[in-house]
Amino acid sequence: MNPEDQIRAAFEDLSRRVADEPSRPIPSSGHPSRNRRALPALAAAMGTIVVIGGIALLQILPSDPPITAPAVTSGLVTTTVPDGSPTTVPPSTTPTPQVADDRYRVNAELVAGDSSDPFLNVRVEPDPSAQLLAKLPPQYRGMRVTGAEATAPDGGSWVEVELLHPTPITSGLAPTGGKNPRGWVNSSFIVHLVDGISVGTEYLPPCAGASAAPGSDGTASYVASLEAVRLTENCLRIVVGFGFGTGDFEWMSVTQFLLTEPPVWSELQGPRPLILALPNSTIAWPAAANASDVYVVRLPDLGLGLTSLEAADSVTIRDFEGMLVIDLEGGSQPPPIKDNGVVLTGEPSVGLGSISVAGLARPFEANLGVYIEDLSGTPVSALWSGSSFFGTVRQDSYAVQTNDWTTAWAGFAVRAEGLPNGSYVMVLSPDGGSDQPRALRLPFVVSDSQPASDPPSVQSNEIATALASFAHGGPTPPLAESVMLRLGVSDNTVTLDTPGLADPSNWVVDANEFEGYTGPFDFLSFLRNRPFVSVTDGQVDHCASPPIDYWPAVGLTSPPVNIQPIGIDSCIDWFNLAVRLDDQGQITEIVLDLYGP
Amino acid sequence: MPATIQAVNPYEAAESFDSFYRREFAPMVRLAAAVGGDSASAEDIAQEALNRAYTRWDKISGYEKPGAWLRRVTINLSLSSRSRAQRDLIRARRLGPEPSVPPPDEPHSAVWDAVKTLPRNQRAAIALHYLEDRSVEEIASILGCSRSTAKVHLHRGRTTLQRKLEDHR
Repeated sequence: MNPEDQIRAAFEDLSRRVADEPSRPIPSSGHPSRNRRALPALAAAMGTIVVIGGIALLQILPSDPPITAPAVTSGLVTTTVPDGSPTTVPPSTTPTPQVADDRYRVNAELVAGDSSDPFLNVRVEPDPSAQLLAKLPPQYRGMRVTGAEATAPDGGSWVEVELLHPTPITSGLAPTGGKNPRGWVNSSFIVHLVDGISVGTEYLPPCAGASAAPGSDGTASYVASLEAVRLTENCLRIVVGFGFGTGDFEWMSVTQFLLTEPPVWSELQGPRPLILALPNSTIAWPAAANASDVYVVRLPDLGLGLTSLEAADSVTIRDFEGMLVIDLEGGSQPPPIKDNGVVLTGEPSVGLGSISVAGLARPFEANLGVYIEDLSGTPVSALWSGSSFFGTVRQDSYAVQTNDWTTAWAGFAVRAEGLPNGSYVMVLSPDGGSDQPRALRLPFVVSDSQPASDPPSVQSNEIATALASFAHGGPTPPLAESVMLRLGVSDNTVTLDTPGLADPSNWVVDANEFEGYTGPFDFLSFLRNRPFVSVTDGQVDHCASPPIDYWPAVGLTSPPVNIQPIGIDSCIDWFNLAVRLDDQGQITEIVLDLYGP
Repeated sequence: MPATIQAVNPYEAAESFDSFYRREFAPMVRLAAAVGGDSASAEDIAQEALNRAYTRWDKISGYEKPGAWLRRVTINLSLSSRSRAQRDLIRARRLGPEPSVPPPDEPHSAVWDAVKTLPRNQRAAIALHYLEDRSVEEIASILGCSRSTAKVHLHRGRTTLQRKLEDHR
């Protein structure tokens, strides 16, 4: 076989080995655009800068969560204009929740009308006398119609449905292998789920006026699922589903739900208030990863608890058949960062062959992963020590235990020794298991004679702060008479002159594409949408490559000021705003660089 | 007399995420396996890429080619040695030492060994060409480079692969 045939055979073999059907569940929790939250308005004042080695961490005022939902209204927008001239009429910008066409809910009006049996019966066959699979309460809204239809012996029209939300299943009929139960229902008792937010609230008040929370009847055997649904802007509903009869774990009871302190959801004040304690349960929620605003926490007694990072002024808990419904109502408190994270509480100490750092972390699990790599990304061995250490898991990495699976912020300190002279990056990764690393990367230099690295100059910090403030509606930063905006080393540029410079909306380069991203590129939006950035002088590393000289043929009067994000989960989110100053210390050019394949 | 104007909402015809997911999951697993050279984590990468698409679906569904965006993210994730190192770290932290069991025999190991030695962009171009039969224009669009650059990546990748396989004989 010639090489070309060999190559083709290998790729064809690979194609054959991967089945066409997805082997993983489709993400389906909450509204997509809610998954990114801005930093809370912790800082009323702009521009808190903490200098850490060669990096200054600049805390920027938060912005509203970036809502990127496109306008979705009717396909045709009709209007009239006073004359006959052509006019472009934009469609409405009101976002409408999108729900898949095959999603249905119980027809609550019909089902609840029968007071003797206010449930929808799901049966194993399309027959009103067939064995009962489940009884769905009127507010149940998690059905997917599979497409199978049948006529029952009594002439009724029945459809097969998949039950996406937790509900008690008749003993012995629960599917295995993590599949959702399927059964048949009379189609006249279900209605299309056209609005994922408001449907169901007519029979189950979303927050205000809810009844008190009773305990469980103690018959459930395991926690089957967890889902968070946003009902209104100020109300998050968490639905905990319990399984019956098929779990391997002994169910104790849901009799203890705790609010250990007023529900003030502050980021750095320790563990979140606990919503629900499941004292002796040892099984995790299979769907917990999809509940974007809810966390499962492991309690000191090894039981599990449920908590949320949602802003809330009140919490109500109610139970229904096989479900606990928890409503968090409020919003008067600013929402905290929900992501895992790590922050340093002081300047790293770089000595002869060593570096020490201390800070706060909220890892995904208990341990903050720490390692050191050289500038090529190769891990470097070191002698490690630290507070509450978990231990060295590999020769070149270290794990610092910060808490007990609680996702709470906790202090840590770690020290690496035995490093030869050279340039390194210490990586502190809080993302165990989530594969969404939000590592803090600390460049540093070990040298016999020189300090680790030069901190950014006061001028650089002031420039970065002023620019960030400007991006958030603050005063105009020190600008030259004209400022050029450029995309990387490309020829895509825009030159802004006074007075247009003072309007942040003009700071845009309208290029179709750059580094695989689609324009227009709003330079200041990068500062609006990131809670923290780093500020460095001179040339800095590209996200995954050596530094790029954006001005190879220009004699700079001072090193460029580089503003980059920290806490990003991949190079996809990386950017660099390289700011060139003139001899007056005024901004004369800004280069926006992004990571492209 | 007032005129009546009609404007078409460009998002009306956007594909549902479910169908996008069902169609693209398997191709992304293949792409991740080919580009990253690690079949074990290919599904993780594919799901991660699709999760990112999900969180941005409001925007991405309006793209002319959401599949190109997805491929770019999948390639980036597959090529990110940093992410792999972190995944390894995570795995080690959770599971203890790596198992010493050797991987099963791979009938096309010579090809995959050679693919792993290719530079990142060449690897991505090769995978898109052989797996999905993408044209040079499409590869350029996905990789975010010019047509001529994509052509160079593809040509050099194929040449290097063929040379290495010849040497392997």
